[in-house]
Amino acid sequence: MISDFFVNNIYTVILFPLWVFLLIILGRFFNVVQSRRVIALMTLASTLYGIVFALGSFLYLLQNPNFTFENTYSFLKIADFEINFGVFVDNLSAVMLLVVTTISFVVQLYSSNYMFKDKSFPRFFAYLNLFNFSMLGLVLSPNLFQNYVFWELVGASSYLLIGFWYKKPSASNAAKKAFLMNRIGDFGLLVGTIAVSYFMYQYSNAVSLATVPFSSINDIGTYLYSYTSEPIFVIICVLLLFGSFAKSAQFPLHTWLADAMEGPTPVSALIHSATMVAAGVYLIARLYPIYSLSDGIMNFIAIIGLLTALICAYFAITRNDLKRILAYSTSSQLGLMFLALGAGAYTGGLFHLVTHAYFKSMLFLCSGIVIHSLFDQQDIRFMGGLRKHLPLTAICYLIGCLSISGLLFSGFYSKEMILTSLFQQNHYLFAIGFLIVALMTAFYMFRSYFVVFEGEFKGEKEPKKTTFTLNFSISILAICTILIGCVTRKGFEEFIKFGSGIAQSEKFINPFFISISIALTGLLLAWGFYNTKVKAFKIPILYKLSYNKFYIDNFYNFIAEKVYSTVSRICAFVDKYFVDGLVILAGLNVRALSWVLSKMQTGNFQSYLAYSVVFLAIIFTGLMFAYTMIIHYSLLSGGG
Amino acid sequence: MNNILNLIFDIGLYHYLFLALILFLIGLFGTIISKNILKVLISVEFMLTAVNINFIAFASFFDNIKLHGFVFSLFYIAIGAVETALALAIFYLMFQAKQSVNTEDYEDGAGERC
Repeated sequence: MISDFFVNNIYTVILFPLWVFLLIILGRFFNVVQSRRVIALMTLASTLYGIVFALGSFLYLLQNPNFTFENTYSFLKIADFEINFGVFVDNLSAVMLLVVTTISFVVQLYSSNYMFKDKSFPRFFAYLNLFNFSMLGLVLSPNLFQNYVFWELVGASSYLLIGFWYKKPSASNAAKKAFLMNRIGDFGLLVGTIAVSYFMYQYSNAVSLATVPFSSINDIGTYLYSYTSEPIFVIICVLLLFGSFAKSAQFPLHTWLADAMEGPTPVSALIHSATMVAAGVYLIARLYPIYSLSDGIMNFIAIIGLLTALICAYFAITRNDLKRILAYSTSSQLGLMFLALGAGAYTGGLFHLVTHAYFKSMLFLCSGIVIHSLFDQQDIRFMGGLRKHLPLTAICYLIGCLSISGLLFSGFYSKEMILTSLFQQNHYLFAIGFLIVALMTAFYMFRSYFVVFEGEFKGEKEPKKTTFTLNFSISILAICTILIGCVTRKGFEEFIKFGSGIAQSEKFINPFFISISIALTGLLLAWGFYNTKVKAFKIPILYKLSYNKFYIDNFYNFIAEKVYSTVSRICAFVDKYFVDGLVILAGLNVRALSWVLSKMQTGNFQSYLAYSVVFLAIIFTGLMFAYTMIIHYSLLSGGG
Repeated sequence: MNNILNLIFDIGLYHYLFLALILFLIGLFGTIISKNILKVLISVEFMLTAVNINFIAFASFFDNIKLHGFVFSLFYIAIGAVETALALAIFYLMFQAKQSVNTEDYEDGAGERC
């Protein structure tokens, strides 16, 4: 039996990375902690500690179904409105905790080797710890307010890590872009949070509901639905969803994720594939009782998810940058999770979140090894035949490709689970979209595999060997990818479910063969195009649209450059000539007056005498006038 | 005609006060515009005289028994004499320093500094 020790002390998991972060920063400052090995070991120790506690509480929750743990203390109190900070553990956060800590551990192990020669190694690890702290705090938030605080913190640490090589203009621009895009969503989330809080505070009897605690989210959903009219409810939900869309790089705000690849590869593996971008899906799962009350909102989530999945998979087909292929793939897979959640496949969506986290971070780490061994070459046109030089990386990448295409391993299980529930709930349109995405996924992933690892080497320099640590890290994730699907599939359905789970309906067509055959088609197409002597052909319009990403980036740039700067210029004009003009006018008045006053001071005593006479005359006249008026009016009003 | 003659020759308090006012204004004017420092002194004496006339006028019209105003004006005449002597002594020293009785030569130049 696992005792409840781990669950009760789960808050230390959040605080340990923060402590290490401060230790690295202050240690650098006071010249105490200088050694890179010590920094890496401390970081790994804090994450290992997190894994132990996550595993402990996970097993405890397995043994005690329907157990939740909440431990909060008052953070801010305004009259009877009290915001609590603390931890909240239920099945969902236990699973997320396990995913975050294990992937963090592997990525930190990987980057302790990958980044070892970098000048700013301690800064990198400080940021990693800051991110770890924020992400764990986000996963363990007991209410929407703490959730928002840590939501912003992960955004900030993501900004810091994307712009890690801040001297490179493209990196600092990408960091700014990611931050601004996330700000748009965060604004929606903040307004939505406040709106929900307002309705709870104003209308519900329980004051404790005002901070939107996740432990009673079911009640909050029902109350909110009954207190608000339909349009208000939809607006609040869309605002809350905007936070998720921005964080998970969904359709209107998807452009930041591809640019975020300017950061170091371990960062892409940790933040932009597995943990932070999954926070959007996590928040939807958290607020699922609210969203599920409205069919329109659920369809909205599903449609946005499907749209993102389709267009991002389409964009990924023509990318030449290895990391950008994976970035668009991430966006697309997150879209599938949104689709699953929106179409009611709650368990399938979250299962895909877990499996995707493992194989996608593995793919990123593999791409990191490839890029490293080719001396920072990211363009796949200059790769090829790397299977001979990096055999283990090639195998792991192949495992990842098979998994993400839904052919084998964990990806097969999660995709099958989603597809099954789509068919069960008669969402045939979504299912068809899902299959199209699966076809494109298989195609672009195997395209990258064949171009990078098969054929002949097209680069100039001979690739260098990789190290043991890097190989070890990807091997861990490869084992996770292989095992996690088949081991946990049955248990996951029991462990994570919404309501009473999916009702088993009557016989339906088994999606197994459809999905496999679709994915195999994609594989064979990619093989045919990129691994044989057949020349790959391009359909001009389609290729151009995909290559230019539907001109969405250009459109945003147009807005930023033309429209926004025009407005700015008008504002600058008004500021310069109207607002500043008033200020300058006031200054000029003072100058003129002081000029007159200075000219008055002639130094001649007779002129001073004249001034004093004049002013005395004015004062006495005034006094006499006032006195006369007082007498006059007091007589009029009857004396006194 | 008779009225106007009465107004002019039937001398009352206001005639004295008007005379004092005229004298005071002449003195003030002279003090302000005279360039010669001795003329300034003479103008100051004009103003002093005007005040004395005021005193005497009020004393003779309202204070027939104690005559405080007359006594006061006698004191003022004495003080004016002393003041003039002192001012002349100061002017003498000033003249020794700058060889000038023009007030413009004694400006401190405050206005030019700005």
